[in-house]
Amino acid sequence: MIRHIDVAVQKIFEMKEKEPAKFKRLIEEGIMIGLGVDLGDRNKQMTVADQIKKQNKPKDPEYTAVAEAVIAGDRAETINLTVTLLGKGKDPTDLVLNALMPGIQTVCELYDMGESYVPEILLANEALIGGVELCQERIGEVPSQGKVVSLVIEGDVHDIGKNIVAAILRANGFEVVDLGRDITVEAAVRAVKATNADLVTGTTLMSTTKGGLKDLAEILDSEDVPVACGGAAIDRHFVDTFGNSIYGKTPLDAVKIAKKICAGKSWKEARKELY
Amino acid sequence: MDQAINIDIGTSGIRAQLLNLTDSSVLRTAILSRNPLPGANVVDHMDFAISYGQGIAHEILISAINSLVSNLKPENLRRIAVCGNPIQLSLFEGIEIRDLAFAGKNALEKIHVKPLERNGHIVSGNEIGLYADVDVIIPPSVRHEIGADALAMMIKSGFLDTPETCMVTDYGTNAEMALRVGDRIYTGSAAAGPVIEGQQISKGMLATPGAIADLKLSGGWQALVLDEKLRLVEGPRIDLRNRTFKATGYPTKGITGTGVIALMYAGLVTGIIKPPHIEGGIIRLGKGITFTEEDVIEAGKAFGALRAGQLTLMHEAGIAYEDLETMYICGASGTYVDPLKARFTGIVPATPKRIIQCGNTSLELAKDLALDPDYLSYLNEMKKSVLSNHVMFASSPTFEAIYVQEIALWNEGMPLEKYNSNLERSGIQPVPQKYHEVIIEKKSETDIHELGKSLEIVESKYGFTATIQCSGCDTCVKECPEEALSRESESFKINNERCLGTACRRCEERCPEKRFSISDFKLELPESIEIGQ
Ligand code: B12
Ligand code: SF4
Ligand code: SF4
Repeated sequence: MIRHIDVAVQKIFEMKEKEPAKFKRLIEEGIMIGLGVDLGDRNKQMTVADQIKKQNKPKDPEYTAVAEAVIAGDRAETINLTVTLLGKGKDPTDLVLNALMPGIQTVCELYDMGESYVPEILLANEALIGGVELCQERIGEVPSQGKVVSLVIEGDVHDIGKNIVAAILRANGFEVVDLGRDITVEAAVRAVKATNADLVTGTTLMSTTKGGLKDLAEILDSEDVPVACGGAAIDRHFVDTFGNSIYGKTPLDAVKIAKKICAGKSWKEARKELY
Repeated sequence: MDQAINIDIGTSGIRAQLLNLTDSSVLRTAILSRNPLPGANVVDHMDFAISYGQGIAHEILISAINSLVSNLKPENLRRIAVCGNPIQLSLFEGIEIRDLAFAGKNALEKIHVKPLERNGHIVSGNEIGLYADVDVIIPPSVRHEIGADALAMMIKSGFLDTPETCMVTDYGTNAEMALRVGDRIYTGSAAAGPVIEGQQISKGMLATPGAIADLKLSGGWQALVLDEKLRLVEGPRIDLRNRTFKATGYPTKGITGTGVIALMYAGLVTGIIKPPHIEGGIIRLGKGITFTEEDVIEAGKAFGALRAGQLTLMHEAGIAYEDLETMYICGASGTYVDPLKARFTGIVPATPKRIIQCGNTSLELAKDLALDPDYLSYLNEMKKSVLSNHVMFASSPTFEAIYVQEIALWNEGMPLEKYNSNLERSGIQPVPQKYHEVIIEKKSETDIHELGKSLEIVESKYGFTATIQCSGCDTCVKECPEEALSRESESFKINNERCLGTACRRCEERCPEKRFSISDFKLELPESIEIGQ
């Protein structure tokens, strides 16, 4: 019986993601209650969020506190706890992997479920960076899925979308070097070489600046570092007019692209598999 | 009788009037209902100018204005005064625009372009290509995102004339706004995008006949549609809950910005729209006219930018929202929108005690300048004082903190309680959930205050043409979202007024034979200026 309900819950959540309108209607019609799963009930909904939290919860209670500070988006507390733990001689790599990352992963999973929102991811991201930087000071490189340089191209200052993309990439275990906004092609190329990045994500929201992404992708071709392009000023057709690039619409696309590229796929393969 | 002409060069259309200098009256009005440059917004216009040569862009704009001027049939013309945003005014004058085309100093340093001063000044008509060789008065721009049109909004709304705390906003693409607290004026521009003008929405359109511009409740939702004289008349009846409509009344083609505001209001109050979703996925407004979840998201991005800008100004000025006495709402959308519906969507603050709808202030300022060119020195002085408290939203952490909440609210369905608690966490006042009793005043019934004896809607008749040898599959023609492209055997023509320009290029990108190249198109100016209906 328990298993049965589990399957039902799973299906219901699939529907919530894919067909939210239908999902809401079903609730209204009381079908959920008929199934014996009252999702409208706040307590039960908390259980799902709690379940995610529980799954990601580090075993060590001191690590749990760090993860919770990240979840709460409390940068000061995250830094405090990290300093204390490093002082106690904890391994910085272990701290990143098993205390800080589980925190951001939780927020990300909650976000995917519609239980958390962009502002919370951004705050959690700030907290995460605070902790990771301290660990990095000790060990230099921290283990990651790959290294991504993120930027808004020259002539454009719209950086809110880029910040969201960078935060979600970090939450998915990528090391992100955020160069900021209004970044010239030359500065971007220098940064890619200096950091040995696997991928660049370039954002632009203005028609006058989109050409910069094309220039960047073409120059980086010789470095074999592709440019994932996004932002409201461009679409797939535009990005397909030049090589060494992959178009993405959402931050989740950025994660998918990064996974492919960091797994050694070429931009052509990534395009083929993702489009 | 000595005459003068005042012109408002807007991104979505150009309005010109002939004035009688003896009694300051308006004799005639002529308007171009679209800006003749290809593109849907100012940045597209600039991109077009940069890609095709600024000379061509200038020529297109000047020819359009020449045709408006000749349509007004002036006699004894003494001068012309213009008003508009810095980009349109620079394109009109034919001066540097690259400092406006790129934001951020890195890009500008790289191409060695310094921002221009753009103080108010006078040039001669011939010098800039006008047929009429009279003085042309060009007002100052404060900064690249705050132009003469923003000064007009402050001066002509009444915003500067009362001692009380008040705010003014132009409900257009750039969403210029100003807050006045005592002697200080705080300005900003939230770049909300063209949704409020009916663009960027799948069935969005400018305020022309057949456009839904409002909704009212009378035993169900009743769409109000603009008729051929731009009066609001009854259109289809819309059943939001069952996603059906009854095609009665005036036939509809699409929906304007104020229509979008009214529809969002109706959807939100009935719970049919729960951002970013619509119950059942879409709302049907008429045959082939639907409002989609994508549209809800686009509307949310624009509404959010407006509120984020207004809250940022109040935060920077250090006032409580309750201190706001009067709100002036300007622009065509500001004139025709139902302020209470706008307030419900958050784009008009909840707290002012008076809301005043003001009409097109840009045309009015151009009129003042046409009547009295000495007014220019006052505007140049005003520029200095406005500059001192300008808030650059691009570098304001407050704006960013609020706008991120707006994105979550509209695009992710974050509850308002969370929005407010997040704001409080960042040290920003939460938005009030109760509305004040409010008095609504309308300064003018139409966005153009005085039309004179006649109103003519002029169309610019020229376009871009090219000869392409290909199979003639017409993919390019069919893919054009604006019906701007036509083909007659090997000759192709683009209607530049309708074309979305460099931001689009669908025709070129989708040509299966790779024969289509926009750069092959040449501007075709009419031999003599043609004047339409
Ligand atoms: C907020 C905003 C601003 C803010 C920016 C604040 C900031 N720090 O970013 C402010 C008010 C400062 C601003 C200013 C300007 N803006 Co503005 N702005 C907007 C607005 C309203 C929303 C943009 C936004 O933040 N969207 C939300 C974010 C989350 O979306 P996003 O960036 O697209 O990112 C998402 C996806 O694209 C994707 N993504 C992003 N990057 C990447 C990368 C990869 C690899 C992938 C896979 C995915 C991905 O994930 C993100 C999250 O979902 C739009 C209009 C609109 N309605 O869209 C105009 C808009 C972008 N602005 C515009 C303009 C012109 C300007 C100005 C130049 C105006 C002027 N005349 O001065 C100024 C320039 C700056 C300056 N120097 O002052 C125009 C651009 C027009 C065009 N086609 O070129 C727009 C479209 C409005 C308009 N007028 O039509 N703006
Ligand atoms: S498809 Fe071509 S002609 Fe049509 S709007 Fe786009 S760029 Fe212009
Ligand atoms: S899409 Fe290409 S081949 Fe087809 S009609 Fe247009 S230009 Fe010719």
